[in-house]
Amino acid sequence: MTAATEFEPVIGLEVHVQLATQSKAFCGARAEFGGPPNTHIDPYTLGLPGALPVLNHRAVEFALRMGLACGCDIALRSELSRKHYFYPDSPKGYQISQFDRPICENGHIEFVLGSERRQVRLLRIHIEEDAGKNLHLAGGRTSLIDFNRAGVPLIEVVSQPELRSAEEAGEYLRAIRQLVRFLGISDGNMEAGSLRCDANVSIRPRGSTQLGQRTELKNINSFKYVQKAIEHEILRQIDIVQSGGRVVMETRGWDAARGTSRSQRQKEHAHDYRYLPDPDLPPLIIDETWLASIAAALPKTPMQRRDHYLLRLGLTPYDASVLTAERELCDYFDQALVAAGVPTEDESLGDGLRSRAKLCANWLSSELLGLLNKDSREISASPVSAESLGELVRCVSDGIISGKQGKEVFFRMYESRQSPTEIIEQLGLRQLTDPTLITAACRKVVDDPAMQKQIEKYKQNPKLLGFFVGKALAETQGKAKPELVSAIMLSLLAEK
Amino acid sequence: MSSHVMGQSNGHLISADEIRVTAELARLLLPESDIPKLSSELSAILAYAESLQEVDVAGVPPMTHAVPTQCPLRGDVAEAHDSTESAMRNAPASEASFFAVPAVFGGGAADDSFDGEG
Repeated sequence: MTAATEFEPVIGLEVHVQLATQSKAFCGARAEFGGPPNTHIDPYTLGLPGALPVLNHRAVEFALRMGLACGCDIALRSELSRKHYFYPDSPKGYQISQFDRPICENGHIEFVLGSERRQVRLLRIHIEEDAGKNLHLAGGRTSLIDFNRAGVPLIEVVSQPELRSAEEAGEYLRAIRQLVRFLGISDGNMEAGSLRCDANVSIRPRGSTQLGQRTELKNINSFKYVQKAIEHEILRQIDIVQSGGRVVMETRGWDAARGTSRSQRQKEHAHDYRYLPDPDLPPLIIDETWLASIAAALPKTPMQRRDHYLLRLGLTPYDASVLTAERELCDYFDQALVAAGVPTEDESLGDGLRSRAKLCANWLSSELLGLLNKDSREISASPVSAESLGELVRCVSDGIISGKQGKEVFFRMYESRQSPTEIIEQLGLRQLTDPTLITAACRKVVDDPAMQKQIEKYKQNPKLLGFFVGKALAETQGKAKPELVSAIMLSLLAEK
Repeated sequence: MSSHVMGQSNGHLISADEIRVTAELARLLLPESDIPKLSSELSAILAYAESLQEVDVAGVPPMTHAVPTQCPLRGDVAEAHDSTESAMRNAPASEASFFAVPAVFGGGAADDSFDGEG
């Protein structure tokens, strides 16, 4: 226990994000995930002689969106380079990537760790192309290659070694997934491989500012294992150091089935990829007008929306986290707010509107998400539209129906997809709030000759008010708003 | 990048060891007997290229392409392409519309393949 706390882990992540383009980074073959083997191919994907790369404009736009959202320095002139290596999944014998002049440098990723807001600095974000897939048959002498994935555009997001725990690394990665989904540049699906993560891990004595020898963990391909794999590597290194050994620079592959890692390659002499500027691809020049238009249309980040919910609407951090989990949920909530009568752009909201916003958040997170979850439905498949939910909140807030009636209306909305107004009319739930009608009902009670004895008693005992309110409510078949009946009855009785 | 002018032990700009590493990276199988000859020939080429070092390039931005042009971009449109069958026609070996190669595993010199299959 104390042994582990003597050391401080130092973690940096390299995250590959597959960009959600229609076509590949440098050719027109389909970039879509999956498909029968070797169907999303063309002469360029196969590295056939004479096939030349032409960069996909949308891939650049997506990389710029990410760079802008992370506050990176955008290079108006960057370089595409060849990174050479021989492996069957790369038919050209090199991968087009960016080396000494990436499209984005610096910047940061923001996220929440526990209740603390964290900012981890980035080294760079660059554009590159994906490799094909190898299929190794157990015990076989042959590997099978599918080039459908080869050439799909990626961005690689490289952090500074600023993460200090496996848990923090996990949150950082989740923040990247959330961000790319909000920006609409990737589905961030780790299981399908559109988000992949390599971790550089080292340890050092707590208090030291020097970096220890690092190892590179590869093959962490699910959220479930990110924390586990890094935690395991930290403990493995502590073990080595404590037993008098020395951590060696190597690449280790995570074996999820065994819950352990194994050495894949020792990096005694750093690998020589012989980077060189790709002669087929002149410098990438970003037009400033284009960049400005991308910046102007940049979707809000999850952290910006979180701040909006916390500061302007006064929601709790928990509510804000639930709502910002997915962009679709945020959008749904914002639409519901409008329908509930909460203005979207006012600088500050009064208490009334804030509590209405809170009511919206409650209905969404506890009632609607509860049912959707039970039915394994996404928010996009919700039978209750955002407009309907907002309308329901407005009906409850305005006292048209009570909170309890609201629940019944809500369940019927979920079942029938009808609007709250329709259901309220059908069920005859609308509360009577017209003061003239309520006054008439109350007057009928107090003017009833049979009531005069009770009125005399009331003068002695004001607690009898409830008796008269009950009578008046009965006159309206229970539809009148009780608080209004009570107030009007009180003033009528005072006149007696 | 600067390794080209590292090994000058025998007066050569490129040492025998550098020839061996370069050959390995390029997947070339060189007979040991060829190495001295290659070392001296490649060194001569480098020495010739070195005359460029005499040019004063202070203040001149690095040039990566001979033609002053910029990277053209294409619209993100997926296009029809060769059929799998025609792509397989030139493959030395294939199996059920996969390309088939001698078994490869992690640990090959270049495994930056982001390969989740392991």
